[in-house]
Amino acid sequence: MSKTEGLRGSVVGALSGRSTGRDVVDTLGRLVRPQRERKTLRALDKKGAQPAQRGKADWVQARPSGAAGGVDWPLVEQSFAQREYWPEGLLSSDGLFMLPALKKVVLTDASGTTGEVHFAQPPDEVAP
Amino acid sequence: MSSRLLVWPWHGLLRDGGITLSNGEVRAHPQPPNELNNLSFGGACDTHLIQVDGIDAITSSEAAMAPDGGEWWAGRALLSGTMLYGQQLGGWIYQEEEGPRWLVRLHSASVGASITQGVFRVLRFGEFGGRSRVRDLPFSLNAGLCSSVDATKVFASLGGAGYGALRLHAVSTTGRTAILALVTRNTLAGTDRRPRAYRFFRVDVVGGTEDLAISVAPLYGIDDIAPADEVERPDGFVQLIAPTRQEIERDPVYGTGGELIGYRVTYSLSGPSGLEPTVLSSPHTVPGIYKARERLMTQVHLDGELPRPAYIEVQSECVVPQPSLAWNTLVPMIVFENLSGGESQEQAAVVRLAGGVTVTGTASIRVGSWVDEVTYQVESSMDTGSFTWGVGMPPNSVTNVSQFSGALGTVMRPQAGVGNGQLGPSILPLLAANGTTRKPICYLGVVVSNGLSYGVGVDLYSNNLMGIASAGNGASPAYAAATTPLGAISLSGAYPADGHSRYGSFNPATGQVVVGTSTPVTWI
Repeated sequence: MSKTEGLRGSVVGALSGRSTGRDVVDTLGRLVRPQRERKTLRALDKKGAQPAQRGKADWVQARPSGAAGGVDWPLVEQSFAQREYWPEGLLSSDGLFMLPALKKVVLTDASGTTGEVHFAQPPDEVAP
Repeated sequence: MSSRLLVWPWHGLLRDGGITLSNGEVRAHPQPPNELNNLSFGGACDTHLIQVDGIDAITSSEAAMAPDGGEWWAGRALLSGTMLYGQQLGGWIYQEEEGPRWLVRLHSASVGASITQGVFRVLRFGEFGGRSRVRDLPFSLNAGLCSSVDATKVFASLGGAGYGALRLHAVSTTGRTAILALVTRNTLAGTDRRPRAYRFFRVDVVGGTEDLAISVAPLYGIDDIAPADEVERPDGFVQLIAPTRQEIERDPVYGTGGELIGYRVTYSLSGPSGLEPTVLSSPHTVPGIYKARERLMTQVHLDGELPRPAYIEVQSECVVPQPSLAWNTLVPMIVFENLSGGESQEQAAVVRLAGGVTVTGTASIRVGSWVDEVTYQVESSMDTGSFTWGVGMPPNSVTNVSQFSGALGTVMRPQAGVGNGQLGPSILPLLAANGTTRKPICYLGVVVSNGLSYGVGVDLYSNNLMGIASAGNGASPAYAAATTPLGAISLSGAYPADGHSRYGSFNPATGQVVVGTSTPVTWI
């Protein structure tokens, strides 16, 4: 079962058993929440890629963190306006509701490092 | 198969807080509010169809996923009043051209003495995960509360004066055009309390994210809604042609001395009669052609984005010929002519006036797209019987047999012993209100007040549905038809005594109609 089909099945199931349009909104709202992303390591620059230079930094007391790798959790979205969406979202059968498909979110970790998460474009067709 | 969300499978008749589904089950669902005296922005029985272009039809595999009794709709939805899927929108959905959708909500409205002011609140509709900027767009209308004159014109004189409410009357399927109405109503118990529009306004929504704008302009005023009657009729007055004396015998009269003192003259009063012009007001109908047209705009539909008014209208063309009458002398008049001057009547004439005329005509009664072409004739005869000329003509010597043939059947009404002024009557079309209920009724009749007529009653069920029933035809009233923006539908069945208080609704998505329910009804 594809991700989209699973999503639709969930919506259909939820709508079928409910009685009001508020429930429709609630159901769709739950489904649109951003998915938790898998943690990844920051890619290292190639050796010798940057010229030699004197480094300088302010010492900051490291916060205890259970996270591994180069991300200092939690990741926080600082600006909603920086979100980007794919032009085509998931349209309802009546043509009135659109479940937008996220294209990009900009997140900042606890150390102030900003990064982007890019999402795939929804397919036009889904498997039957 | 495209990826999309399948939403809202519950459709059907909505009444008493439940949707009757296609499998006969009733599913609980909020009912649009029905306030008889304080009319809300959305009518309890009103419906507005939303259509979204470019939406693929429901596939068989999608249809198979519908729950029992449910059905997915593709590219369309129905506003019940101003409710969508049980949620009160308080407005309508505007579809930007090839763009997003917007909710246009009536945020506030105040109907003043001569001006109506309000605010539309506009925000993006149907997109989750984002927050829309709310825009408040004020508007002002050049009309306020309903005057007593206007209330009478729209048949809402039993409580409708001094009241006014703003109502969403029609919305195009794109939401780019809407019709607002200022409405009033009768309030007395037992009356027809369904809303009556006394002003219509056109709303145009244009633009989008950067430049969305709403303009509201007067569309139809009271002179368009209830225009003056159009009447053409012959001028002047007429009266019956009196008999003329025809001498039939003359005998000399001698005095006591044998001298000729005069003549005893016998007259006949027989001869043709009819009607002749007079300068005096007279109850007699002037022969000629009578044309009349009366109408009331009750609804405005949107054909695409183009407003198209719907009327209750009755018009007639009636031909009243010159009657063919004759005086007959039953007892001749005898007069003594004195040679010295003057005359004296020795025997009064006994006469009889008889004859008749046939009035013919055609009429059309229109209620929205429903048309009833009616033909009629009145066989009008007059027979005074014998009476003494000069003493006084019997006043009620006319018999009229009226016959109307139209969609409601043939109505034949003999009417004997009516006033002489009813000889050869013109048939008058009349659009009026029932005296008790104020329900609109179209009449064709000789004498409307005693019900000897052909009548069509109209029920103003909703923004897009009018019911039609026979009325005042001497038989029990019965449903005849309903008229919608999509056309007229034949109905049958007895019309209840409280039919003017019943409810009805039209489903523009399916073409279904329901009339005569005792509680508010609509569709979803």
